[in-house]
Amino acid sequence: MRRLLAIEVRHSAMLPMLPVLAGLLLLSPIARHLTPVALWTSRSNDVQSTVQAIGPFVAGTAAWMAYRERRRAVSDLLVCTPYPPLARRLATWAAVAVWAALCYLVNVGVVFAITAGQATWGRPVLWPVLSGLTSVVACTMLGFVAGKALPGRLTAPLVAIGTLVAMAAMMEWALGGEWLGRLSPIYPSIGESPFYRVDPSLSQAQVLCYLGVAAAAVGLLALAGRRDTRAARLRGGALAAAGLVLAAAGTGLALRSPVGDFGHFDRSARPASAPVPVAYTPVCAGSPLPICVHPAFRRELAALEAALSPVTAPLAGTPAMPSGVAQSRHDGSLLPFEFGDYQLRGDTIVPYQALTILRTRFALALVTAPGTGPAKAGAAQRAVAAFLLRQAGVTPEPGLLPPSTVDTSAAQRLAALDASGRHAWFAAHATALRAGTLTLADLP
Amino acid sequence: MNLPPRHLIGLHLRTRQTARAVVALAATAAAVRASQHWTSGSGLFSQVVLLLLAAAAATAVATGAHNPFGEVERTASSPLPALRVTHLLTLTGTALAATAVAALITTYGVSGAAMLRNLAGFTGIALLTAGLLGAHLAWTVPLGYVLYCGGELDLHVGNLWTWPTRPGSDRAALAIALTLLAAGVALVSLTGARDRRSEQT
Repeated sequence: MRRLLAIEVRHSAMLPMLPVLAGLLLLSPIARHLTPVALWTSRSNDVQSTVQAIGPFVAGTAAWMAYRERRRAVSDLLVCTPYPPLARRLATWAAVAVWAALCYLVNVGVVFAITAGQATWGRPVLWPVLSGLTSVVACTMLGFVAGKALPGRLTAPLVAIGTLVAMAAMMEWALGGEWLGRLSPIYPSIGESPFYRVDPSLSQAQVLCYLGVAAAAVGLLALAGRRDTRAARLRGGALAAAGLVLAAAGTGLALRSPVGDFGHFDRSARPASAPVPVAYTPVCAGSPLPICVHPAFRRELAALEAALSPVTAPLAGTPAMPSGVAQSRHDGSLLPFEFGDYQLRGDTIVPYQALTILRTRFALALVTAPGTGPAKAGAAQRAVAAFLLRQAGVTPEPGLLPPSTVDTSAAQRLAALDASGRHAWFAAHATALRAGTLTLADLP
Repeated sequence: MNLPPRHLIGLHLRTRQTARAVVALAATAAAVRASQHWTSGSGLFSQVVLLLLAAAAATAVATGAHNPFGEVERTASSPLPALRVTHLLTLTGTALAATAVAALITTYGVSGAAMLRNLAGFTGIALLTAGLLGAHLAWTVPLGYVLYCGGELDLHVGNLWTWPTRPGSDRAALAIALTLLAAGVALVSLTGARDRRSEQT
């Protein structure tokens, strides 16, 4: 059997697919997501999502290999060989699965090696990687069974395309709120927030489900073999039944998992559960406005300071100037503000729209009470935010701060004051501005 | 060059399993129509599904280019390019007609003109793949290209490298698609799909 497997591995149709897959992965958005700010959780989800590229190709190749005996009209010839038909088929499938798994694991190795040099917090999370690996194996098995069941030239491409459609459809299903869709191999199976402990429940459910599907497919393959012994077919039937039970168990666990909403915690699923916070010491930098972030975002500090300090320049020395800015979780008297995982080019946040959105959100956060969304900002608050942005040379993001003639006029009145007048105005009105009790008439 | 007789064209079409390919193309068009509920929006999912269905139809055309006779066919006296062109134009015409019917019946997230253009372009890509790599691999490059376009759509990147994602009125995208189709038909007509040495009889 080992010799047969070695022959199959050397002559597998997966070999010419490997450069195609390598090229696809290099051109994928994931390759462009390897920016200096690296979260292990995010990268783990990224490698799992590479199944959307690898899965369809390996499924199609497995279907093509399953059709090989009939395509070359050697089925009757192979009956004379000493190997049982099931062993031959499993050797052919195993060769495809070995190359598919190798391709996936090399991809994981490369991404994790790059991440190891960039990450400033945490460690690799292996559950999404395992989920991706089992889904790749399940894709090869399902493709092989489809190729055996429907031998033909069109089977391989239809299996490949159908695999991708199925993955995308389940993802769309999940985005629409249907929890079964979270079994899609490309659905992020863990939360990416470094503030909370990773909940692997959805990953574990996915692994169980994919293993069950693969086992059921192997069992079906054995059950359908007309030239196999009765004992082999009975064992195949038992394996198929066990696989279905395993897949059902995985599905049940997925329905109970609180990981939802694209990897975030969904308390509506398990109200008694709560994400477990992870203790950390924030890292701070910047003057006169210290910005404090979770250590995982350490590499963003210089870019954040460059982006946000100019916006606060008119507030320096006034009560309106915060003592510092803290990321997400409230740290004492610091202004809480949610920073994200930004792409960087040197010390600049890219693309430009992401930078504009960040600055606009920050300007609004400076003039409103904590927790006030951009849509709830009053006219005076919007006018002051617009002034802060324009004096920093930033055009406000229209979606967050819609252009308004009235607001613009008020902002221009504020800009027309000299520095000392503006300083005095902010000193006198900072508290009322943030409380939202000022009107446009209160602006100078 | 004399045109081959009609019965020879009929035999050639039979050896390429044209009837089966026509059924597959009709099924693909039916799938396009059936997908309307999920592809009527302009989101990422609907655009990717429509691209995949175009790739499926293109693959059905290109896999038919497989030569079941191997080298022996090249020794025949009949003009093979004329027979191949007839076969390809028959299937491509059928695919376009079926897709046009599906596109006219109802609306999708992508215009009917864009769907037809994408079908033409993907057919060209699939034929070029068949000519260079073999008919059995004709699906690989179109599928990989759909994945690439899907990734660029997700990043909101749109340029001529992702011409299938551009509006139906985009002339540059149309020119690219027609060029790909012409190149694919020309290559497979002149040289046929690449035969693997182990596939030759």
